[in-house]
Amino acid sequence: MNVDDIWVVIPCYNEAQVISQTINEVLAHFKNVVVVNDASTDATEEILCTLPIVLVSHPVNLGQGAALQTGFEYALLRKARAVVTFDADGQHDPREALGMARLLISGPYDAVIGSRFLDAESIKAVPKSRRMLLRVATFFSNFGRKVKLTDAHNGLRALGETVLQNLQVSLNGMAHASEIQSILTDGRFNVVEFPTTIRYTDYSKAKGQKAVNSINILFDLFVKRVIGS
Amino acid sequence: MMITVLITAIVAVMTIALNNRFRVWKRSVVGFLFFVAFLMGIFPDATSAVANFLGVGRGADLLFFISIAILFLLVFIIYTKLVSFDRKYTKLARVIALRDAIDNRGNCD
Repeated sequence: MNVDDIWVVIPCYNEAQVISQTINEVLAHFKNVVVVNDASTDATEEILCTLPIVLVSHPVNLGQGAALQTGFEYALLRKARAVVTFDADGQHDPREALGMARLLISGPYDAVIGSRFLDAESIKAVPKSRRMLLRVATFFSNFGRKVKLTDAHNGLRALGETVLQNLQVSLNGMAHASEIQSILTDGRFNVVEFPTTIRYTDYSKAKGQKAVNSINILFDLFVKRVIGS
Repeated sequence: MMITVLITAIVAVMTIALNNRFRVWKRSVVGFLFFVAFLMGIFPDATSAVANFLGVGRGADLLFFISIAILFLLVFIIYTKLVSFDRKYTKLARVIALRDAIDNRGNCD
């Protein structure tokens, strides 16, 4: 496996301001990029059409979890050996993504997961209020899991094909992060964490999740537990 | 005291009814509860006796408590139905999106 067997999956919704910069940065390191446009209502679609990427467009808005799953299925159709998930708002560093992809290729790992809480430098980049919330989220996600991870909601991950084939993201909203994490930590896969720094720009903070959404995430997870998947 | 037990029992039965294995039971359980509510409507005096036995003052109150439990459950059942529609709708949209994927990778080199 080399970097050309890896697909970068970028879910995006109304990111016209930053999308072309984000994607050009990613293209500097990766050849295969699939952008899932989740029925954006701004100029995102037109911008994406001009970029050398694969464009998959949801006909209706479905949510980030659904967009990721669409990207994964596309990558599997194209015989990807691994995918890297990357946020469209430009908060991730493509060099870190490449580092994670390389680690996945060279190591015995099934997945490499980004974490903001591995070194002191990247912890400082996380706003104080967000830090608390993420710690709580991480505590709950790790509860009773075989493998413990330090960052519950990091959008930067490299997932190998063994994980991809077992992954079915059914929660369309933001609860998908916990869903992906729960399959990674059930003991079947060899998972390693990789220190990442999130660039909290004014744009990414405004676009990012509101803290209140954590309640919705808990509710989605509860409903999934009750109904069963 | 008894009313707490009863309501808990109803919620428990309904939770089981919601579980995949008991999905077939779902309608009959809800139907049965409706039937009981219906009987109570016709024989209000009988409900008082039952209510006293369960430790609730009046039959009307008993009816009120049980209705809330049933309505709560129905809302939840409808919500789960919505979630299942949402999943189907997502799959459909995904099939369309994947079919119409545009590969521009070679174009801009």
